[in-house]
This record gives sequence, structure tokens and C-alpha cells, in this order.
Amino acid sequence: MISTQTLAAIRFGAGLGGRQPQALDGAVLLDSLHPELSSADHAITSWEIRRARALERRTINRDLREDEDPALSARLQDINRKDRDDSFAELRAMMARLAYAPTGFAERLARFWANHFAAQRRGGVLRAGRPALIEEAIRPNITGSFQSLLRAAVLHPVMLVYLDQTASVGPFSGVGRRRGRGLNENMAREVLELHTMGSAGGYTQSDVTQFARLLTGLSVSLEEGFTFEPRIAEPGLLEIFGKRYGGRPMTLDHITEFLDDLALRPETAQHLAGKLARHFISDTPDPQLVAHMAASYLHGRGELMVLYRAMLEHPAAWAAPLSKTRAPFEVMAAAIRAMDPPRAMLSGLSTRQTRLFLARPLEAMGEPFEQVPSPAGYGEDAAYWVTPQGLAARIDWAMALAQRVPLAPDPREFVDIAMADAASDTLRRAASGAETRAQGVGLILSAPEFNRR
Amino acid sequence: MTHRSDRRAFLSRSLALGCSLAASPLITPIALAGGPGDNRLVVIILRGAMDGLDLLRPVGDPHLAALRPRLFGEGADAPGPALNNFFSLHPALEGLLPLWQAGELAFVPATSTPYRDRRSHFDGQDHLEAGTAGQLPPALSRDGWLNRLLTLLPGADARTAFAVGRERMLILEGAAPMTQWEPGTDLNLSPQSRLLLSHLFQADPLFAEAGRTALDMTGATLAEDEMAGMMVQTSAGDADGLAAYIAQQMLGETRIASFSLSGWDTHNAQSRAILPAMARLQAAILTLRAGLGPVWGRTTVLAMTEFGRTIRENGSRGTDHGTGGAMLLAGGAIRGGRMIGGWPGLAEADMYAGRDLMPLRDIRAYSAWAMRDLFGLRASDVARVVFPALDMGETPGLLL
Repeated sequence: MISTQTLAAIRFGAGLGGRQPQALDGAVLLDSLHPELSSADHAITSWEIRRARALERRTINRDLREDEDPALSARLQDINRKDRDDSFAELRAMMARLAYAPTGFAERLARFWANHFAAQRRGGVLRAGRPALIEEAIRPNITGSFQSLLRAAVLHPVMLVYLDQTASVGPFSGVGRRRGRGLNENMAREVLELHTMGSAGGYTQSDVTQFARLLTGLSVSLEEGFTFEPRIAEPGLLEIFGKRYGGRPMTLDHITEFLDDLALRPETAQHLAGKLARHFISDTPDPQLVAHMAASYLHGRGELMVLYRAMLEHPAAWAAPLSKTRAPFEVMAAAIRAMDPPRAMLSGLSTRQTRLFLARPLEAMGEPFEQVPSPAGYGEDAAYWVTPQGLAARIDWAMALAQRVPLAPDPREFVDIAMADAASDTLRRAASGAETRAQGVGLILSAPEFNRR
Repeated sequence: MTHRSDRRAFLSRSLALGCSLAASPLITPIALAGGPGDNRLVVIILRGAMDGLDLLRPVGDPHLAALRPRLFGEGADAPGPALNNFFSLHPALEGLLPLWQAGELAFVPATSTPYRDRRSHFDGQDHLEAGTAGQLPPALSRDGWLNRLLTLLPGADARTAFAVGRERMLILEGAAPMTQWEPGTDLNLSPQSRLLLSHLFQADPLFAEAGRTALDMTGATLAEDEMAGMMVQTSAGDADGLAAYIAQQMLGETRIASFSLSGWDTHNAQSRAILPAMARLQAAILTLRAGLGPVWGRTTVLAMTEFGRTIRENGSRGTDHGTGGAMLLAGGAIRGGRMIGGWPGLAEADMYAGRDLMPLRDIRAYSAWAMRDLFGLRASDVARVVFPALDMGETPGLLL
């Protein structure tokens, strides 16, 4: 039997230790969302700044082909260094947010939605993008309606470029007819399959194609950023799921109208409820829990607070055991949280130290910062992260962390801080049987139990 | 250096340390006598929907240039080396031409899994690797067809089959033991911590097998400096490195290996975007051939993708998700230098759904016959266990 307090911290929050509230339960978790999201640290470089740098990078690269001006080369190096340093600063900040949050529920939800709307920069001159997408489109919307979240995530330039929407042109639009260009249906398909109705949603190829027509007009350029271009938008009315959208004049409203309708479809409710429950609670969540969540979501007209409340108020959300696996980023944050070094130690890491201590280990564990494996994101089932490779990297990092802290805590006490009543007797015995304090702490942080949530 | 297996290196190391791992299943002696034969099978999963019409270009088809005006029409790059009077090879695969001439390379131009119409990468790859038809089984009970093959091989153990790379591969997931590993991993643990950790991992069923392998493989590489040094050079995602590692394993106990090469989802500017993926595919095959040496003659390589791409190019000089596509076969064990299974044609009436290449035969039939011939299995066993409910049809005579 694991206490509610422990379940709340490990299953829904950032883990034990740190400074979580004395009494932690579903209500406290819900109440923590707004305050934890509003404490801004301004640590994420905006997409606008990334875009401006990319534009300058492209211009300099063109000029350099004409003339090898050393001043230009120096300027290029300077931009590249800034972009890189900012990315490592973002990694430190995102790790600190999760590790040092009072409960961490908000950050966990942000991670869930960031994976749901998985996207990353796409080659070329743009060097970053995923943290900006999360900061600008995801985090501000995770306590609002799913309609707002869906619009913001789908229409963010990083997503539009990642899912090829910027290459899609209405065949009967002005540009389409003049230049013979046409549709690219990638984004339409992924929005239906991944973001809303799910692959079991029952839509057809024709729905995908119609939606792809409706989505035309969305454009991103390095010069102007996001714009809606009627010149490439497919004219005329389009029927999808029995309702007509579009028509002249072509505007962004036609697209958001369909996205809003999509958000409130029962297939979407089912898809989101099931995925959220699988993410937090179990690979095979109680069907009654999922049904309760989906019904509440629809009844609440897509309000996400209603969805979260429905999950946390259901008894099945509090059933033992901890059967999910912490993602690499989560296990690192939980370890830092339990060790509780001064926050400045993390924020004070240099770019090189950040690479060695955070970026490379994350990559070795299978969750490289700023990257997603595909538009479907990282897998949600518990076994997804449990590979020999990933475990070797987890052990390596945990041992290094334990040895890095000047005065490692006594493993027999640390096991209570890190695992409390979730620690098994086997773990307690192993921790006390280690050769040194540091090895004992490292063992606790490498153990399967600590990798569970 | 001698080709000691990692497991044996680990055994001698454990025994030398005298640690109390005697209860570990690792110490069980391997029954070499009943081993799964001498032939080798490598399955390369090409993730992202490889455009078969670009890899194996049907330049003799009168409709091609009109359907792909910017990819294959006037002013496009040279079509690449001719394989016969109908098909050319993608120019970036020119290095495979000697294999074609030596009868070590073959193609099935128009095949696919039974997955139709939804054209989702993720579902498509799951179908390809699960090897099932119709509805996918639930994610939790899904296993891969190479894993089911293992259950038919007498004497197969965890080292018989390798999934190489960082990502899990459904094709080898399942009940039969197998090993997943990415070359180049190391671990610095004291023997005592290693022992304590092995107990902790054994206590959790989800972590037990992976944890054991992690400790086993890192322990072994630590013991062999030479091998460790060699492995450092093989970085993640590097096709040569993966192939070299597989060749090394296959010179030992391993008989089956699988890995993936991605980068085939060419919605935009395909003629440029596909080049890195083609280069990786060529490098992987040539490295396997070089690394396997004499064993190449007993090796079959199958390279397959989740589905093909649209016959017509799209509005952004790329192609979208389609249905039928090509499969590549390589190896000294195959009867190569030929096209297998016919060509459906590119006329509107010959297309699938008016847009895609028509698959002429279930891709599982080719894999099934290859396995039956390589491992001396009964066709009925393959159709029952590996690909349930598959009609294998006539043998395509893939092997020599």
C-alpha cells in the first residue's frame, strides 16, 4: 500500500524530495497548476528570435559565397554560438523547472502535451524550435480549452514546417493553377491521427484529402514568420464529416472553425482521455476511468481542467502499483530533486558542462533534447524506455551524479527521501549493502523502482 | 583478435571475479550442438515509406515521365545505371552494381504488406513488423515476425537474434529471447555495485531482461579493450557502424539481425532529400558484405518499407504516402541479378486507388519463403507460426 502523498508526488508530480507541499493529493495537484505555470523564468528563446537569426544566417551564407569577408564569418560564428548557448540554457531551465517545482504536475502535463504535439526544427538554417513551440503554444494553453491548445500547437510555425504544411498548395488556388502546384496531405493526416481523433477514429482517405485542402493557405517564411496566404488557399466549400467549411474569402477562420469542431468530437475525447490515462496511470487504464474522463471532457466543452479533475477524482487513478516508467528527462529531474543540490549548481553549468551532464546522457537514454522520434512522439507504454541501452545510460548517469555531489547523503536515509513508502525491502537492503555512500545513492537512483512512476 | 562471443567473455570474467552470480541464467552453458543452422538473415526496415519507384526506376514504363515530370522528366538528373532494359538503379546506389552483376542483388518491384488506405507511418510500420493482416493486435500483445521465427529454431537463445540500434524494434519483440544493443556503450561500475544492481533488476519483471543485458554487455566490452576501442568509432545512427557490428556478431553465434534506416519520408524536394537515406542503405549493404567475408555466401539481406509512395509527384517535388513499392534482396545466398514478381504498370487503370503502385504480392510471402529456405523449415510451420493465415503461394525461388 503506497500512500496518496507518495503516489501524487511520483505518479503525477516531479517525484519525492525537494519542497513539495506537506499534504499532497489530487486537489492540491489541481490547485498547483496555475501558480506553477505563472512563475516565469524567461529562459526560453522565442521563435521570433530564432527566426531572425536563421534569416541572418541565410543572408550571410549567401554573401559569403560571393565574398569571403572575415567580418561576415565572425558574425556567422557569433550567431551560431548564441543559438547553441541559448539551447543549452533552455535545457538547464527546463530541467530546473521540473526538478524544483513545488509539485511538478504542471511541468508533467506540459511534457505530456509537448509529446502529444511532437514537433522539432527541420534541417536547414533554423537551429532550434521545439522549446519555443512548447513555451509559446503548449504551456500557456494547458489549463485552458483543448480548442485553444490545438489551434496554438497546430498553427505554430515549428509545427507547420515540421509537418510539411508550408509545402502544400491548393490545386485550384491562384498559385496552384499558375504553377501547377498541389497538396501535401501530411499535416492533415497527422492532425487527425495523432492530435485529435486517433488512428482508430474512423476517418477515411477522403476526409484526409478534404482536410488537406482546407488547411491550404498556412504559410511560414523566414522573412515574415507565420502568415495566411489566400493566394495558395483552396477556394470553394469543402465538406468534412457532413459539415461544410471554407468558401470565399479564404481566411484562417475556416481552418480554426474545423479545428474547434474536431476538438469536440467524441473520438477526440476518447483518444485524449485514453492517452492521458495511459501516460500517467497505467498501460491498461481502467475503462471506467477513461470513460469518465472522456465524458467529462465533452461535458466541459473541451476545458482541460475538467479533464484533469476527472482523472484525479477517480479512484482508479490512485490504485497501486507504480506501473509506468519515468522518461529519461523525468528520471534525471527526479534524481536531482531528491539529491536537492542548490538550484544555482544547475543553472550555473557552462555550455560544455551542460552537454556532458545533461544533453549527452539524455541522448544516450533515448530522449535527445529538442528532438522527437517522429510526429507520434515518444511511446507511452511502460516498456518503451526499458532497453539495455537506455538502462546502461541511466545507471551511468545516476552513478556519476551520486559521485558528483561533494557529500553524498547516507543511502539508508536517502532511500526515504527518494522513495518514501514506495521503497521495497530489497532496495533498502541493496542501498545499505553498497561499498560507499555514493555507490549506495547511485544504486537507489539506478534501481528499477526509482525508474518507475 | 579472436572472435570470442560477448557472452563467453563475460562468463570468463565473472568466473575470474569469483562473484556469486552462479544463480544467474547467464551461466547456463550454451548448447551449441542444436544450433539454428549456418545461414544468416538480416532484415533492414526502411522507415518513412521508401519510394520504390525512385530506388528501382521503371524508366522503360511509358507513363513514368508524365507522372513525375520534375523528378524524372526532361532536365531531371541522369536515371542511374541500367539493370535491364526496363529498370534503372538510383544513381546513389551505383556501388551495388557489382552485386547485381554477381547475382547477389535482386528486387521485387511491386509488393506491400496487407495494410491498405490509411497510409499512417506508424500503423504501417507496426503492420510490417508484426507481420499480421487486418486489424493490428492490441499494442501490448503485439510481437514481431522475426521473434516468432525464433520459436521455430531449435537451440535458439538470446544471442541468436540481435536488434541493433537504440530504438526498440517490434519485428524482434516477443516471447522468444533476443538481444537489443547499440554498439559503443560502456559502463563504469564496481563489481559490488554490479552485483547489487543485478539483484535489483531481477526483482522487476519489466526491467529484468534489459537490465541483465545492459550489465552483461557492458561487462564484456570492458574486458576487451580492443573491442571497446573499435566500438567507440561506431556512433549512433551510423549505418556503417551498425552493419559492421552486425557482421561481427554474425561471424559468431548470431544468425538473425535487424535494424532500421530512416529518412525516407520525402514529401519535399525528393531528388535531394532521398540521397542521405540511399547512401546509408548502400553503405549498410556493402559493409555487411565486406564484414561477413566468406559468411556472406550464406547470408540473405531483406530491405523493406511500410508502404510505397504516390506514383504522381506532389506539389512540392516530393511524393506522398502510397501503397505498393519495392523490396530489395541482397546476399551471397540469394539467386540474384533478376526482378521477382512482375510489374503492374503505371497506366491509370493499373494503379491502386488511382494513385498508388499496385502491389502484386504480399511482402510476407517473400519473407516467408526466404525463412523457409534459409532455416530448413516446413512451409506449413511458417504459415502457422510466423505469418498466421498467410497464403504463401508458389515459391519464388529466392535462394540458390
